[in-house]
Amino acid sequence: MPILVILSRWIHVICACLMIGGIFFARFVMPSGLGILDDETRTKVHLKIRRTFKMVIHSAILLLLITGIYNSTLAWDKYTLDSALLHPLWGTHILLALIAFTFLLIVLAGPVPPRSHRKLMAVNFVVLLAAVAVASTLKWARERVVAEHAAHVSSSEGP
Amino acid sequence: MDYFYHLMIFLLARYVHILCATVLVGGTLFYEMIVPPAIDELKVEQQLLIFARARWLFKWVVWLSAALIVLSGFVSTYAHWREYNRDRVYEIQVANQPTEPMELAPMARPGWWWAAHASCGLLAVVISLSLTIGKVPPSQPIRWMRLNLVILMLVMFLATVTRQTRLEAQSPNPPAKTLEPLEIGR
Repeated sequence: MPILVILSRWIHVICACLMIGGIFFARFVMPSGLGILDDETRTKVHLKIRRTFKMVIHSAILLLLITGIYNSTLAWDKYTLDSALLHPLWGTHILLALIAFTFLLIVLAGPVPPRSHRKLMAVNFVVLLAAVAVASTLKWARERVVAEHAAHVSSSEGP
Repeated sequence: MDYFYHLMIFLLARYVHILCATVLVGGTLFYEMIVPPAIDELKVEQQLLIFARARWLFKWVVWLSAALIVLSGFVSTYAHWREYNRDRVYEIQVANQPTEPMELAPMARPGWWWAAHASCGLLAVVISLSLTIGKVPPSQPIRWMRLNLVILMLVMFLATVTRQTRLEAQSPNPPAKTLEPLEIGR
């Protein structure tokens, strides 16, 4: 069993989960929890949460890039089987992921968040959901193309 | 048209399954690893109040995710059921000549990995639900959440292995790097 393939995919999925779930919690759940605090304390707690979250996100981005490149390298020959279908899906997934990473790096840069950080986080959440949807479709399409190709090769090698 | 609807349902189920897992795993990590150190300087009453409010809101997310993850899991299982049952024998078509049925090694049977994934997943869902049931959390909620996070990561590992074994069982002689693009009218 190709353990490296499994590990790489597992780490990729876990990092995506930590990123998307963390953004969801930070943007939509936590503000309600911190609502009981006065402004000064709330800002202080928010900055502490942001500092820890930044470490998680930066590590996740690094691991997503490494495992993403590795996974793409492994599947690249399959993408060439039907490039008209698979390349746009792969490209869209990469583009959306890079947009999301850029947003995150902007929002988490510096000691204090930018003014529009709430809006940016919400937009980022939607972008990441779209990236997952495209990745999911890409995986399905790749499996289908490989299965069709195997059937095609099998029938063309007939006696 | 039926094929299109089936396709949409399976794709949607897969997407929803991943999305709900994402919210559960990421939310659990945030709740039990990022929030506690950030509020440790506050008074105990304030800490409890913050946890209670976040828990109340997170509860609905957990319940909705749990329901959707089980439902979408059923749909995805239905879609792959034949492949999960391919645990004893399968046939390879080489040059249109059926070869002898071969028995899959125990570790290469996708059905077993699927069973492990589904049972651990159900356990994680049950723990998540039990942590959010009632007005007061159970004793030592952070420990339970930490345990649940480990189980959730294990569940995801099992899902990855299930997928890998399913693909390998489908294609015992997987196309290697010499694949040529299909020349059928696409």
